[in-house]
Amino acid sequence: MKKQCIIVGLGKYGKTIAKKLSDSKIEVLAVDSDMHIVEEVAPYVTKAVCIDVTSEDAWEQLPIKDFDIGVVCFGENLSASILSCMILQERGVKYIIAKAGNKLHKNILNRLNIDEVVFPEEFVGETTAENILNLEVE
Amino acid sequence: MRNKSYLVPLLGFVLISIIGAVVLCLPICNKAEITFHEAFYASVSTVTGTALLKTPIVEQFSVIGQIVILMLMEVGALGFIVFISYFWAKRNKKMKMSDIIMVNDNTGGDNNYNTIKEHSMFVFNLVLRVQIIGAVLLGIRFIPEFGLIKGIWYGIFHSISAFTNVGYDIIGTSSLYNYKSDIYLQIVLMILMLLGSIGIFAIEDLKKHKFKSFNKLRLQTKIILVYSLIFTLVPAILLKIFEPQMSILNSLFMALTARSAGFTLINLESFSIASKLLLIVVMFIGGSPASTAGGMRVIVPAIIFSTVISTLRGRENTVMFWKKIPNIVVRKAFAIFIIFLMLSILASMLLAYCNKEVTLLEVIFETVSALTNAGLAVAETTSVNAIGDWLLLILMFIGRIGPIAMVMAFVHDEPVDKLVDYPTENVMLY
Repeated sequence: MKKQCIIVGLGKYGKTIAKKLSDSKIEVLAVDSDMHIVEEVAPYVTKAVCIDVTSEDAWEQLPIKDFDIGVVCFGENLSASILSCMILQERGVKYIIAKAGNKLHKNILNRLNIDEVVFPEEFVGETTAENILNLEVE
Repeated sequence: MRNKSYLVPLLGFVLISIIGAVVLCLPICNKAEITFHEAFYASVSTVTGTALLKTPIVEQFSVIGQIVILMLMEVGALGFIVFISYFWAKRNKKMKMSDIIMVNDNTGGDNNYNTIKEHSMFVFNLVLRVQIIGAVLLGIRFIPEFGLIKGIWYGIFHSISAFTNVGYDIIGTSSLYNYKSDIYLQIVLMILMLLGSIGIFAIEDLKKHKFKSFNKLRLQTKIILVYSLIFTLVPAILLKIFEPQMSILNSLFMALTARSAGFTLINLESFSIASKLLLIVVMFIGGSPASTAGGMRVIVPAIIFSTVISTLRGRENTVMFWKKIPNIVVRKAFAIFIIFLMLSILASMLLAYCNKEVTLLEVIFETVSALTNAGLAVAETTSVNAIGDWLLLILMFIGRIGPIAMVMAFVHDEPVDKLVDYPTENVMLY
């Protein structure tokens, strides 16, 4: 069976993931609270819907337990991030990746036992530093 | 989340029909022999206000049987409108509790019934008064002809039959044929049918504004009044054109009676195909919401008509009398229209399959007549076997309860799909 992935939060980060995954024939459900963003992503992904991610009743309408992988991509909006993670976890999504916007956010997500916490600034910063170290300037 | 209260009228009607059938089976009610099947058919036909019968009432039922029929008519029609007004009053009440400021702005606060019971009593009183006045007026005409007791009885029976839009007569096999030129009788019956079919909320609204200011009436009432007028006058004029030998009053009476009552004033077998088709359309349109009449209800074709016009003009919304109709209501109107249409076509097919000796027009006429509870008949009833009978019975039930059950079942305080919103994508229609 194809991998099924639910992506919550369609900022630049989430959108990039959604497009990339859809290119490699993974079933993607893209979710966001902003209809304009949802409509932007809709042509690329399998399905796209707009819900209030902080409302449990709204989540109730989506078949979350069918998904193997969940990606939660809120950097700024702490409550949306935490709530989405909790809900995906409770409804039995097998592997959850969440993005953190700052150190505190990262710590909270780690406490929630999220399978993989991504902190892009830190990660990219380290990579850049490494690049600089390996750089040979004449 | 889904509202189950639509089951109440459904079960109520079934129960009353069965009780009615059992009572009508008793020997005391009958002049001729009757089977349970026939009694059930008569009972359903009466409770739903259809008045399609196998044998004329006077030949089949004794006076006691006729009284039972009378009671069934009252229960069917009255129970129905009291129930509907109860349902809506209760809903409105709920709205008022949460939005008191808005309601006070709109109605000046004089529309607040103290209790729902009070509202139901108002409906009940109104109906009773109209029927009594009708009975007296009809009695004046019948007493000289049939003597005191029979005249009074005829007055009561026909008053109720007209107001409840059932359309039975107990004058005999000749029905109302002999009264074709009786202006007084026709006008009284027409007023009764009109009052019955205009709907309780429209009457209430008119009363509140003392019949003075059209502009202040609720949109609902405006639509009902204007379109009822159109849907009565236009068919009447067309009927007069199609059947030149008929008097103007007769064509008006036929147009009105086709909208739901189904009195037999003129033998329809003599009508041209054009008139019969016209009557089918008129039956289809029917009366008003929350009234004793059947059919699709004028509001539905009115909304559909306005929507078509607005669409052709490139407008996004349906606007009537300078008010916007909510999209969800427009969608419901279309749903009801399409379901009625599909049902008529399917049932006609089935009925024609059951009885191979009828013409296309007869089958459609009979089906629509049953479905819209009009009860006009073009020929001797076309259904010859039990399957056909049951089909007509089911149609009568659907016609009576279907639209309100549908509207009620889909009444949600909020649309169910509001929580999840989907991206829009355009499609080509041509």
